[in-house]
Amino acid sequence: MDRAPVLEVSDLRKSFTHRGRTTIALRGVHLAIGHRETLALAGPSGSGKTTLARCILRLIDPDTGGLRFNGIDLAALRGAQLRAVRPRIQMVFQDPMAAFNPRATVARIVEDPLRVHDLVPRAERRAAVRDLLARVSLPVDIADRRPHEISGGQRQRVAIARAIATRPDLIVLDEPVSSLDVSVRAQILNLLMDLQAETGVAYLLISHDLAVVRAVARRVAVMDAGRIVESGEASQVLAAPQSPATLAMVQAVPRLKTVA
Amino acid sequence: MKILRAMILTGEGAAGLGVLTCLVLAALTAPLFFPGDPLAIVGPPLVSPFSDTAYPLGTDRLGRSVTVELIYGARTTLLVAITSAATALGIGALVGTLAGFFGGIVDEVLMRITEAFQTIPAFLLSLAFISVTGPAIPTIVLAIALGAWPQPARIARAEVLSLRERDFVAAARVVGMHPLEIAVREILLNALTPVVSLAAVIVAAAVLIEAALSFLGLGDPNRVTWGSMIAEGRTVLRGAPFLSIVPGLALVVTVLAVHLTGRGFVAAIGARRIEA
Amino acid sequence: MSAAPFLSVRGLGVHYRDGRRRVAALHDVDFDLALGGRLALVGESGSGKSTLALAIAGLLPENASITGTISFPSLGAAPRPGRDLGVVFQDPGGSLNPVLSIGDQIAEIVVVHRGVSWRAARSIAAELLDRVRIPQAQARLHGFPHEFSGGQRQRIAMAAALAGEPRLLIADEPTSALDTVVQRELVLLLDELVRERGLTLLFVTHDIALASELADEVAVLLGGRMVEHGPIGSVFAAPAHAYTRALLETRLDLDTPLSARLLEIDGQTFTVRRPSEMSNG
Repeated sequence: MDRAPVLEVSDLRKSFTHRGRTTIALRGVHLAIGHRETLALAGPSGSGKTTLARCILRLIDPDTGGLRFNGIDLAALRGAQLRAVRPRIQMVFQDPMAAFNPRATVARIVEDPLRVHDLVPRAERRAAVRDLLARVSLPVDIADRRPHEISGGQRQRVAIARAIATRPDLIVLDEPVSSLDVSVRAQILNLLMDLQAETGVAYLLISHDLAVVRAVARRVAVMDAGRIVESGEASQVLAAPQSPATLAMVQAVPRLKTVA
Repeated sequence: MKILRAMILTGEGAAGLGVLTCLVLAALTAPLFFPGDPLAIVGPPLVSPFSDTAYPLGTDRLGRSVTVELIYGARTTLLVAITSAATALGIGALVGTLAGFFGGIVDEVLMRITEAFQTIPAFLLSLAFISVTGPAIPTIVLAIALGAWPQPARIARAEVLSLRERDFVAAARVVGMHPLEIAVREILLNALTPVVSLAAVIVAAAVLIEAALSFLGLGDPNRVTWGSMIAEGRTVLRGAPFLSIVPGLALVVTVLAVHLTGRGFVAAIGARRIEA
Repeated sequence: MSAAPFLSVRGLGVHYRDGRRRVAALHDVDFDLALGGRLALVGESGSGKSTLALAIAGLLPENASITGTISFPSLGAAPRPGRDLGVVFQDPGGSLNPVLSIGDQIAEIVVVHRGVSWRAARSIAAELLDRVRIPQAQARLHGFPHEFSGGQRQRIAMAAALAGEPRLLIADEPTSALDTVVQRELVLLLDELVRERGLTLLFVTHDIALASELADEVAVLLGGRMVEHGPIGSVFAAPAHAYTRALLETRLDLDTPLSARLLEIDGQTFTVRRPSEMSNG
């Protein structure tokens, strides 16, 4: 990496207490992502991937640990200061239907980040939305539709359009293709890779599907029970898994049998 | 309006809306067709209904036209019912949203207040309030709203609590929206749908509470209401039962129409949700 | 050995009535399934695979109308749900009654379909839960569905589907909502259960690799039609239809190298979009 990492997480810890019982979700996580890089975060459900993503996005607050984004101490920011940094880190959620206000139109969804951060003067917003929709290969007339009126693949494209609107340095992709049809997955993954090549954005890709990881991520970090148990070049880790968690995941991937 | 069309398609919605529209039209045009004071004496007392075309529904003990009283009564009834329901929904939605959104101590305090109001029977609460403030349209509206607001508050709070955890609210935070904008645009407007379905129930209850208050003599003395008409008819119940029956029927029909409209609304909303 | 198939579908068509419109979900589907056979229905959303499975299970909604025939020659009469066929659905939370304990739910099925006493039924329920590897089955009989994880709920749903000792098990995307490791456990369990009880299996999936592991026959559905059907080994080794070929070529697996561009399926022709045909911009 010839530039400073976009995101640096050091010894991040988080636990939840509910009705007297404490669950430790993150037990000291370390990772770093660089410019134009895709780091995949894999692991079984309950391993802490979602908690880690939410901590990085400051949707929840970590208990202790370092969270540096472009050199800034992200964990220390609050209120208006935190909102000012938001344009730099965005997220694409797993279920595109749930990630949109059911009453909003596509145009409003994509326009929100531009409006909230005043990135584009009001007169030019409609045009900016059109450009973003074109960038993710959506027809312009989709702008007036609502989320439930369009297909799953189109919804995810809208989510990506919203995420890139502010030209972020890092996008967290939470199972971006898991809820999509198999034939649509390649299109969305290709779109994401094209955008990365164009803009240099870094991705943190969360996925329980190792095939997706293998196809788009150079590096992978495997989580198990709140810790990163293995990390490295995806091709190597998946070909020769060292930790039991990785091994279980690799063995769990269905394999195509072409003989009876 | 797609919802309106969907409502009319359901039989109940059509029936309810039809009756209510007639009622509202009659109430609005009353001064046109029957100018003057409804409490003015126009003819001989206790004329039976359908016997004299000048007084289609007869006259009461003092010779006032039942028809005129009925239609003017509709004005008061609808005015009070709709205003008090709107007030109750407004207060309830606000309290519920604040409680659900902010949580913590705000939630605790607001919920204890809501429960306090809920444990007192609504009618008694209204009665007590009126006896203290004296009867007039504004105080009657407030009296009814005081008894009715806890229910929408609970529903709004429950909706907000569930909406808060949804991904699209998290998405709004990630985008960087200000918490107040999130509360209003993302949460509040979506939380309103179940609250609005309560509207019909509250309007119906308000109609009945207003009638009961008037019946007890706690209504506005300067206005005719169906409740006061029933009260007037009490003394001659044996000889001229129609004086109480006619306004009583009007109450039944109105409450039924409101309920049917409410059910039509819920069905229309439900149908749209499944479509999506 | 009888030559009559267990399930025979001829000219099956299904339409849904949506307001004033008629939406066709299935056209002209023909196939047989032998006793003890395992058929995978592969396709994407809107292909009609779930509609086909639900039609066979007799679980289509009221606004659906069926043309053609679905017959079970060896049963003689229409199959009784629960007794002759069992169904496992995609949503682990949706097929279990949230207000009844799992013991009660399974025991009820046993009582109704096998005519034994409640006591015996509860004991059978505990055995079934143990068989689907719910730990401490006897004690967990009193548990409610929400107390179990997604994978466990799906196993409980399997136990419920098998409680009436059916001949046919229909599974509609049973693992799609679960992560890969849990999916693997469930598939192994399903395989064992089908084998040890000699069940006929019909299961719906969008994952062709999963289909190849579990089934011996496959039917590919596209736009409501069955475009390919045959033994799974030969279909995947030498697919006859372009769509099947496209599904195989664009498949992602652990051997797919990291590349700048993945192969896509064209949304109009349902064939693989070749790089030379792709327009940029």
